[in-house]
Amino acid sequence: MMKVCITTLEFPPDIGGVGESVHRIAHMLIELGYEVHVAVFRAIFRNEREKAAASEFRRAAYQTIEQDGVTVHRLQPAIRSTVAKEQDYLSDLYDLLSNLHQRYQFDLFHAFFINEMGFLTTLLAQENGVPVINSIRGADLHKHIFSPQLHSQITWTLAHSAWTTFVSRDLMHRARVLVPQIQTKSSSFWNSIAPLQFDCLPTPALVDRLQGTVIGSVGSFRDKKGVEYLLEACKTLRSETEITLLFVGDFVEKERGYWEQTLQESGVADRVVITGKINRAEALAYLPYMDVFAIPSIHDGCPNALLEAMLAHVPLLELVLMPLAKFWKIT
Amino acid sequence: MNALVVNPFSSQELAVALDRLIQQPHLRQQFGVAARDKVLRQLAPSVEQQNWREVYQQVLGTSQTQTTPEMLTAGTIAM
Repeated sequence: MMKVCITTLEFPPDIGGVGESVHRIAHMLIELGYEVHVAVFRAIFRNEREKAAASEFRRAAYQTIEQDGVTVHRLQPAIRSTVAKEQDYLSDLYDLLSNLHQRYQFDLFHAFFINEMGFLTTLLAQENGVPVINSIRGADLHKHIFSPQLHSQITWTLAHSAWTTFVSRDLMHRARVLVPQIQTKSSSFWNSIAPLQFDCLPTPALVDRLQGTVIGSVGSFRDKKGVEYLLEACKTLRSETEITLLFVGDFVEKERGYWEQTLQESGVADRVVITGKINRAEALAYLPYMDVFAIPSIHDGCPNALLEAMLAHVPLLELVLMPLAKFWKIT
Repeated sequence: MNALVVNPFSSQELAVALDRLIQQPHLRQQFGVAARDKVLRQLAPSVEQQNWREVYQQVLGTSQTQTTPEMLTAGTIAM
């Protein structure tokens, strides 16, 4: 049986779209006859720095559990110093992943999210003569490619992947512009979703605050999500009709001040309901209460929340030309 | 048709589209039914699984079909 090692920044019970996708794909691969391992780690070290400041030091280590047929390894870099640099943590994670490979002898690596997992995974795979697939998510090439520090790692990783997959044609086009040699070893296809039962979900906690036409969106709201345009549009509409603007999720912490100010100045703050970060079942329970599902993203891939809204019969409205317009503007 | 799509960076166009959906419940219903139909037909797990099967077989050299890299890149994976 072929052994596959998927590297990802999250996996259930972690909350997040990448984790959901990896979980779904891991089980598809098991059905196809592969032995699937998932190595979970972050390349952002905020928690480690907080622990270091609190003198909560630790050795590098990984914990392994079996989770519904998937072997899940959670990797943690050492916390040795309050002045540790990114490379201190990353080299620990590389060693842990290398340790896993020595133990299990994987036949294939598959990295999700090139910015955090791609380079480390691809370097290890190349050094060991193992093929590696990189699966690109939206922010990888929409935003991180503009980082001078990340640019060379991203392009190197693309160039040295055995195959690269994308969730939109626009992402793939950008990657092919950056690294033309991936033309013959890349492809794009959508995420999928299994049918869901919405009638057995719990009543949402904030349902009493939903008045008039409910315009909803789901996600982790940040710069690329285009929420400003949705707020402005709702300000225009509120004089004519009663609306509620429902955000299922929360604004990202690093932009919280910006969003609080934007909401205050929006003129519709009293008609905005924000659930905060909630689990998937709770988020799904809000979908049947939405009259319109808005995807105001400036850039996005193929968000799971969009597919879930479609399953719930919620009509869609998008503020994008790329890439979702190509996806949905159909007859 | 299963959705309205408006230009990015335009709250004005977004407001017009929202107003249209608010004022036309039957259009919302039509879009909702069409969206669900699309997701059940074209975004089923079996479709994605077949795509992953082809990518993995290609990379591992275990393909039992006639799939070529050119086919994978340009044709077999619909979008």
